[in-house]
Amino acid sequence: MTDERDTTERLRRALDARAETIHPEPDGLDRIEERLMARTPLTDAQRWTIAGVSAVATLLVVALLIVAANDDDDTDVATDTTTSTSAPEETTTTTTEPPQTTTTEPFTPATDPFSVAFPSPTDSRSFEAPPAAARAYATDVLGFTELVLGGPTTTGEGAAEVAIQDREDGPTTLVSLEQREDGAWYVIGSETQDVVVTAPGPGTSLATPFETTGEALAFEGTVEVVVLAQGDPSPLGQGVVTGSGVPPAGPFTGTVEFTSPSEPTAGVLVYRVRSPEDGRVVQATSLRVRLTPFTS
Amino acid sequence: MAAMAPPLRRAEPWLVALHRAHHRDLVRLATLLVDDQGSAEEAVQDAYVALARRGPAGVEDPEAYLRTAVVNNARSALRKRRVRRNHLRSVQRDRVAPGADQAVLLDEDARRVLAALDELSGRQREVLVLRYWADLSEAEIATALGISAGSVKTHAHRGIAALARILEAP
Repeated sequence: MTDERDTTERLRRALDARAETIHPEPDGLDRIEERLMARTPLTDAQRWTIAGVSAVATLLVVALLIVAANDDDDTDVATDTTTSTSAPEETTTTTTEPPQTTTTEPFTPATDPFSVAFPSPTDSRSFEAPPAAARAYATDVLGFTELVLGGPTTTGEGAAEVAIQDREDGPTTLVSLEQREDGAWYVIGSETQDVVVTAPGPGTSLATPFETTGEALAFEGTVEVVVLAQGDPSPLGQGVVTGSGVPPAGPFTGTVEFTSPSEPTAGVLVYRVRSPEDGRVVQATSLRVRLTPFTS
Repeated sequence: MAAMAPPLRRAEPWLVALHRAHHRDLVRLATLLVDDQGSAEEAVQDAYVALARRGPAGVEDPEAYLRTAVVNNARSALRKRRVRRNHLRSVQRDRVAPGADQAVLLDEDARRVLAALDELSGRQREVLVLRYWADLSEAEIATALGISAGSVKTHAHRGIAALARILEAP
């Protein structure tokens, strides 16, 4: 019993001491409010109501057009025919457009942009399957110019991974994806066993400059660190960290600077390993971050 | 006619008050469970967003709801991380023990105890953190974890015993 009491006391002290080193980010409430102000999915009742009203509106418009066509004389038949023939499309168009044209609220994406790495929820592209999203992420964000794509692996409900390589026998980069409320697949990040990032973590707020640590195994230990704003291939900042050039992977520490945004911006950190032969990207670890304005 | 339901307004006063009262402790709890403050912050934000969507009248005990949601979200984050790392055959372990920058702030015994805590099962670790850091009762821990009070007692007893064995080892 004495031993148990001693152990519990030591545990309390250790946990208290560790907890005292943890300081929450000051913008926690801001992030919660941003997510609350994102577009809210419709309830089933709302969907049925909209569908029902749309159907009635469609029938009314079709009926009016038919009545209008029957009242015209023969000289207008060609025009009427044309009009009648195109009426279904016009009707369809008319039916679907009003909700967009009558709304006065700006579009707010259903997916929180800070919760994904790619694509931006305001991007015109929407990926219905993990491989397509992973392929686009590999080329647009990670910088792969040569790509071998593996099949998706389901890792949980609405979660998947896709393995990518720069060649058949090349190192593997795992792209992690999640399916969100809008049904589309989004990339959350990527990992490769030769570059393990211990800081910063995914979702961290970063201002310039920031420190990054981890372990890496690469040619001459060189890993390129790139700071990207979500949806923009032009780097906001770049740096180089050095791990180990021969196994095992060695620790790295580095400071990276980037062009400070004027407001909090969804971003991606990409840690690229390049081929010594031709410089192409052969593997990349990446994580989503929140880029914040510089404050002195 | 609007195509979507109107967006929720900015955080209501009741939510702001809950945030002010509990946010720091919830982030600390989540970080003790997942040892990645970024993931911990998101686990806590997810919990507040879920609570906000239920509304002030939708939950009988908001503090308990938040705590349960944070523990569940933290467990999910750990599970996803383990799946990815198993796939990559990474040797890096999920840990409560601090990284190098925080280690300098802890004494030797604290570092040993936290390293020993890392050796325990996920459930034992959850129970011990909730019991000996959050100071919850067995009933409150049972609610947070969705298990019986008897199971809480068993996990706590076995966890402490395992901790003692590890700490006694040379």
